Amino acid sequence: MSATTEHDVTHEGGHHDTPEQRDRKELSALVLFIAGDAIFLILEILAWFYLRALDTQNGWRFSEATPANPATSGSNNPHTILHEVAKAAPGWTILIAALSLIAGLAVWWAEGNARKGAAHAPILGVSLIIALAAVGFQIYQFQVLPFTTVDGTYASMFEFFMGSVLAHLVLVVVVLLGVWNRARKGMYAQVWYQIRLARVWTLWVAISGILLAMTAIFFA
Amino acid sequence: MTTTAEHRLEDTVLGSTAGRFYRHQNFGTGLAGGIGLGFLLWLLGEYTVNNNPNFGTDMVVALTMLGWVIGFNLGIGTFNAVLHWILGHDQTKEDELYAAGVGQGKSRYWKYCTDHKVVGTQYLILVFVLFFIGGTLAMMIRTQLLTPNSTFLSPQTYNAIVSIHGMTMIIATIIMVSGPFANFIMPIMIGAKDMAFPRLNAMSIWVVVSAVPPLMATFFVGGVNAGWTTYAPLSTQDGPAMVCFAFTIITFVASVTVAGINTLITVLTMRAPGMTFSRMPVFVWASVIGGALGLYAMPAFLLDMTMMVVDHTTGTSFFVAAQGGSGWLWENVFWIMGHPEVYVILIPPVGALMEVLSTFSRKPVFAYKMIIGAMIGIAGLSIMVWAHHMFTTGWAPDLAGPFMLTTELISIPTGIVFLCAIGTMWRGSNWVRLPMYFGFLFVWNFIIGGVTGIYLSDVPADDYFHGNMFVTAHFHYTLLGGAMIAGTAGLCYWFPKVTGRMLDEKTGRWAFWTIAIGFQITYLSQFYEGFKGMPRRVANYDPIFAPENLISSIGAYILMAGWIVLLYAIVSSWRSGPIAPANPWSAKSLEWQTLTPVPLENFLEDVTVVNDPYGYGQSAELQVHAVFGSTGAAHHGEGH
Repeated sequence: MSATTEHDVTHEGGHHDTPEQRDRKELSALVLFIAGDAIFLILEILAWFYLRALDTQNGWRFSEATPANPATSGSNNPHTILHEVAKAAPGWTILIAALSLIAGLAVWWAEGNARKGAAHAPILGVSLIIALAAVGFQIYQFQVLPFTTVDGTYASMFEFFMGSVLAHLVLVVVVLLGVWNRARKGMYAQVWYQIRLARVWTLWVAISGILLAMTAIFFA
Repeated sequence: MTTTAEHRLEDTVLGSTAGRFYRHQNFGTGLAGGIGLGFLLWLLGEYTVNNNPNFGTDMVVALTMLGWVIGFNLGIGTFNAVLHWILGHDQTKEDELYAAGVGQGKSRYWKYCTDHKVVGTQYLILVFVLFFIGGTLAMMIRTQLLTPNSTFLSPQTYNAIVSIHGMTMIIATIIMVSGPFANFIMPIMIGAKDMAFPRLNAMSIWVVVSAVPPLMATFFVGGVNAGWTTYAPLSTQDGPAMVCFAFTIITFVASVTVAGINTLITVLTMRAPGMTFSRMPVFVWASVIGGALGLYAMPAFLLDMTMMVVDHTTGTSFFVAAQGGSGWLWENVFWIMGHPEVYVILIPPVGALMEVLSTFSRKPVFAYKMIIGAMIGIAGLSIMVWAHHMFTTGWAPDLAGPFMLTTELISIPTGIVFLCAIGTMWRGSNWVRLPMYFGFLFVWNFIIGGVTGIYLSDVPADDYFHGNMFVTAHFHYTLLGGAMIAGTAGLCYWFPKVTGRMLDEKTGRWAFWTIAIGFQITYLSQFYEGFKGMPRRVANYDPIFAPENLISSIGAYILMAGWIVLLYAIVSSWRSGPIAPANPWSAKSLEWQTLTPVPLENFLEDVTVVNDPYGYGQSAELQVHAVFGSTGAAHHGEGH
């Protein structure tokens, strides 16, 4: 972290804090927030396995469907989810997870550049675009899924995962929008800890998205 | 420290543009924003999704509640700083001072104010409001149960009132100490100038305020009939009121999460020099443990309620057995939250109580490290006991034994805390002032609440007691008789510091005896009802239970009268009580060593902690908790 100047001192609540103090506080807070979010993630995945194991009323997924003999199509019936779901969904799921990971890595790259005093705003702009693309694809995935929320617990959990990823990605976009805009204005020329926070959050969202994607793909 | 007695931060004269948008925002603009956006989204819902025959009404209600919560917080200023940050316009120091309430007098209590003392006071008022609502609903319940086959309330109205009474009280008890005192008192106790994140702190109070109207709105959209636990499938069959209920919880979880993180980071990063972990007051430890436990428990609440909302609004089937869901999923996730949440409620008030007992017994806290260890032990075990709430549901009978064991184990650290409370008072120079009265009452109530809890951990006994009034009496003994009474002890103790006035003890003692007697009558009767087998959550009952119910209802009226008398003592003392000296109890912890009213930055000089805050009866050197300024004066407060 670079030397503190009077200009850099922040005053939340009217009190003096150096950027180093704010960095320490905010990173610690973010770690705690991620810890809470991780508990949410673990419970989400447990709910997936719990409902899958119960398979109440054969409502998880039509278990007799095979690629050669897919179940009949149609909604509003938990027994008619297409077998192709398991094949169709991973493409989008993997793409979205990959995009969020690339966005996180781009922020990491930008952070490294900011530390060296090199250009970082354009990289943050790219990461923002990638995150926006991930949001767009996630919304699009809702449209192209061959089932809806009313098609049993498999469909419910799958779409809940998608909603969870979408909510996290929206937060990534908000954070990256702010960080990119501030970088564009040269506000991270000396103090870049907020880019680090953005990197930690974006990478966490990527990791949690990958875990959800792996659950959905390998344990359908 | 940057301020001196001659130049206090709160004396800064601000320019006419300081605060920018904050200048135009207050509770009124919050209401306007909430109602406005709520109405807009209601209109949008009416014209877009209301034609869905299955979920239309629930979707419209969800959109309306979403509009209310976002609009209220936009209106009051919760998102100002975030929006400024995104736009790259940082708040100036003048803006921050304005947000901290400088130059605004009492109007700052109606605004998004970042001063932790204002936030603590706002929490205190909210807690009073919630207890008043919850208490009034309780009186309606007891009036219905005054006689068998009463027609005072319809069964559906009764169910709705039971549900909202429960959840209002749960919310109130979760924040009753961690809101007012972990905000107002705890930062001063560790020698900090403020909480780590003043803006998040202000956010936590106004977000929880915005959670209350959706809870009350449930009465206007059919009522929640499933009880405060809102078990599926009852809750999935409920109407749109369940959506309002879930929105309350989701909003509340957001508030508790940021408040918990703020508490933890404040203690981890903002302690005064010398304030080592082993010198921290027990209340600070209790706030940290309660905050951490909340951080563990609340995500489960969020998951359950989010799934419930989407079950209602989009037709998912997490809890609908006909489509592959399971009520057991709801119950498991709910109690993964629910049992730790009991200790999120209990641990902070117990921490407050230990401060009271030590100060008024003029003795160090007995077995300080044991208490801390026991509280951590309670927190750790509390995450492993949730299924004891499900012994009678048929879920995983093979696990009944292990969960019975973990539940019984938790009585060990709980017993240690109890014994430490007794040990602190034992052979002390007891100074029996009003806070100490409530301390004694806690000890009495909590032993009954604790011991009856061990009955319920036992599977065969639980089979009989679980669905009856025994459970009702048990959890009221622990949460009301234990946590709330301990919280009241804390309120009476810190009242002079928070309000700058002395509490009217004469009226307070009348209130105490009324509460103490009313409480025993109310809930001992309910234990008896439980032994006789009276089911809980019923609007009507067999006449064989009539005598106990009559006595219980009379006790409840006495109890409520006691709380009203205490509320009168609080309000009248706050308005016109004698001015409080800085340290009326001659206590040693840091909050009593600073001025009353407390300055914006809490202390006028640097604080260095040199001993623990419980040096009563020790050598002169050990009696000094902290020294101030460059001179190292031992005491800074007035009025010893």
